[in-house]
Amino acid sequence: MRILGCTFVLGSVFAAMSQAQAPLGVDPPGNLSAGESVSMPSSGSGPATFYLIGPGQVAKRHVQAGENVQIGSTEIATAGNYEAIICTKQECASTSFYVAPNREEKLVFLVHPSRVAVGEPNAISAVVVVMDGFHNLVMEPEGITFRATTNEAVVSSPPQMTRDGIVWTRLNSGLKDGAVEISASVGQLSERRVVQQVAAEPCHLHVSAEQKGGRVMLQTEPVRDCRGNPVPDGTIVTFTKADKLGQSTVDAPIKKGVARTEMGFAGSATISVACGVVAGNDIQLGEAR
Amino acid sequence: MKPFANAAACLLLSIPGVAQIAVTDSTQTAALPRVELTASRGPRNIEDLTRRKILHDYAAAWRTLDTGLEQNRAELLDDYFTGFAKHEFAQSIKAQAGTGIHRRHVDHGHKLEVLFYSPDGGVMQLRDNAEYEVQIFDGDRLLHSERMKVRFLVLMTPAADRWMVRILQNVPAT
Repeated sequence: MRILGCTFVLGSVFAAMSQAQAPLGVDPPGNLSAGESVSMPSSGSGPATFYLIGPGQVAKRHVQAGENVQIGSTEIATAGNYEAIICTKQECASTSFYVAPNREEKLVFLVHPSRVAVGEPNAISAVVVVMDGFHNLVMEPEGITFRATTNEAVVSSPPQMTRDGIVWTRLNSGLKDGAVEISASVGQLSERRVVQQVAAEPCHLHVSAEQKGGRVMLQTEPVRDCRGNPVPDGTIVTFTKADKLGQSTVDAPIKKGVARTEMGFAGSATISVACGVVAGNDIQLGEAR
Repeated sequence: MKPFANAAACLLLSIPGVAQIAVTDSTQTAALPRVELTASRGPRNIEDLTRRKILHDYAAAWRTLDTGLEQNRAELLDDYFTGFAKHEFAQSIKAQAGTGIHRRHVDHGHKLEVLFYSPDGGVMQLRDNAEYEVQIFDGDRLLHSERMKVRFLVLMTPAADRWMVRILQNVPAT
């Protein structure tokens, strides 16, 4: 009986010694991904404070050293280096660990410009940033397919691999005005943007005049670019009249494809018209005709 | 042993000549960290003015981040951070403030490489090889101090008069 009692006491002493000698520490698992919850074993004994210090999160809580510390999924949602620290009143122990980005869940798609002239080479820039569900850049290469869709045609690129989470391309604008839908996709993820293609500079600008008493009514023919696309309404056409009193100009916006204006008329005059870099025909009115 | 190490760290920091961040009330008076641009990969060439702005604004962003983390002032991030980066660091600073923790960065410099500068000039991605010492405090107690070489992937976008940090993501060195 006495021997049994001694054995029990010695056993308890050894157990207590071994527990007391376990160094204070935390042991994070390897290969953690953003947004995972994790159970982190700790060593040591007694009441302690656990700190989790990361790029997007800081946590502090009371724990029992030697027990597992539970880390919630929101606590390691940001990819990057974390520091796990456990402290008793006497000492602290720390371990760093890395949290990798999770799998792709979001495409940030930047397309520029939103409005472009037809027939321009490399006029549209499209950049894709691949992110996980927690706004971390996804570092693993992903194959992104770009697609341009108009009423007439669909053009797809072969998959282009991301590098450090980014891939980009440049596209020519089409030859016909109208909307072009540009999309980027990987797996089930897809993002789309619409770019408005508008006519290029006007071509063959032509004005006609109708004299009514002391006034002259001026009107262009439908203003189009060299591919026949109508120049957008609101584009300014400048009418200039030169006569014995000097020179006067009127800036008139294109409405429903044509620009119109009315000017005073006394004797002979020369009327000219211009839009952007293009000059149209001249008209001689009155005595000079 | 740990208290001795902590005391040694405190002593070391109080020695003149050892680099340390000035604890000031304003970020404007703190010196900018040293930032250099070592390489550029296109597709657009960096204009000289843009290069100078990036060096300045990235350094200023780190100054505001360092001061914000040390003084637990999330509002300092407004000047040079936007989007996800601002949200994450502001969240971290608010959590620090709520638990009595603060972090001190002793910045030893940044080496930047431009990985991508978009053709329209609207996005720049950089890799930063940074070196700094981080000290983590709970109140006055130094919990952890470590000199680190860290790599970041950075996404910056232009704002009205400066480049803003939109993503600042810590990545493995390899």
